[in-house]
Amino acid sequence: MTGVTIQADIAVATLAAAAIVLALGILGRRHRSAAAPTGIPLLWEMSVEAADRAARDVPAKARDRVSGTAVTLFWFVAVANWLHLIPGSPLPAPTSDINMTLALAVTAMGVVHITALQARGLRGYLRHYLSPWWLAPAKILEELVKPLTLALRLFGMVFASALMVVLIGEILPAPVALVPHVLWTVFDVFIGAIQAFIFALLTVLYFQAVLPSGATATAAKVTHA
Amino acid sequence: MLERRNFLIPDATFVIEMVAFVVVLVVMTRYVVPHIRERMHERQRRIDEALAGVRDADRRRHEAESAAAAVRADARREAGRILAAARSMRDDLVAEGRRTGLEEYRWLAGRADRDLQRRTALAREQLTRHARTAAIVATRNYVGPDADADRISGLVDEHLEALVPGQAPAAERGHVAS
Repeated sequence: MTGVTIQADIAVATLAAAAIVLALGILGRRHRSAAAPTGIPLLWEMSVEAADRAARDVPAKARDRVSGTAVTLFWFVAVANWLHLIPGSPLPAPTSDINMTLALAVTAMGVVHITALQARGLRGYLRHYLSPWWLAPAKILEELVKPLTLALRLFGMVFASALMVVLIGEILPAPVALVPHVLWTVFDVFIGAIQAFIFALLTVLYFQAVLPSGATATAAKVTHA
Repeated sequence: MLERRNFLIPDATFVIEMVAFVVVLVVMTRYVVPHIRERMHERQRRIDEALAGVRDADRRRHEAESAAAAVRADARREAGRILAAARSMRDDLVAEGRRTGLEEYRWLAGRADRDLQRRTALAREQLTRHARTAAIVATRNYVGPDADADRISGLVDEHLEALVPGQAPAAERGHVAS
């Protein structure tokens, strides 16, 4: 008998990652504006500034949404990637599960297309995909593939990383495995940040691909999410 | 019996993941990121204001330095003009002093010369008068009272004229004789 399958550990890890990101967001939000930021607020400001810079070519009205989505994706993916690295954490990295990465990719692409619809209007949005008409199938296929590639890239990297940890533990004896395990953990931190950055950056590029250029934007119709 | 799951096929966890992410996305894009961006813009605005203040102060300093340089240049020009005027005045005063001194010298020299001539003439007249008187008295004592006073005076005048030409007071002869 097959019922609804829910992976409790992944779901709990996702909720934990969400809680951590929200807590970090509250920490970043509480900083006084007059003082120079340090620590978590500084990291937030750096990421927001980087996202704003990456999104400077999209129409002004959509810029905040693009930048906000990119920042959220970066922090959420980074925290999810690093969740299993917290010492003593029983939770796995939720991004090592296809449900998580696919949910992120589908949501991100959903926001991309909603923003494009608001910016271009239905007719402009359709014209974007139907001109030239003979390329329409390829364009539609590309849009269907984009969330899959986003999801599979992240999933593959984090899954492989988790697999490496298991392999190191299984193949090498415990005293010998310590050093490779520590080295791989450090590398995992780096890979987690890079993957989060790539996911956010690709999302911004997807936004730019479907939105009109900043100069000819009809994005006045776009309202904040 | 455990059912083996294909890890590439999503299941119902997908919905939980999506809902969780959507909630985070909405909270972040509505309440966190705009606030952080606003704070960054506010700080940037303050930095820009401070920089504008610095630029304004710098501009005012340059203006003040230019004004000070202009004032210094004016002061130098004015000082040069005053110095030239003072030199000119000094030269005029020196020339005027010289001229006045020369006139004073000439006037004093002329007055002294005139006084000398007057005194010389007076002394000569007194000498002539005394010489005549003495000559007349001496001649009358020697010759007698009939001695001609005019003739004696004439002789005295001739001798005196020989000694100092043009100084004989001939008009007073009669007065002495009487």
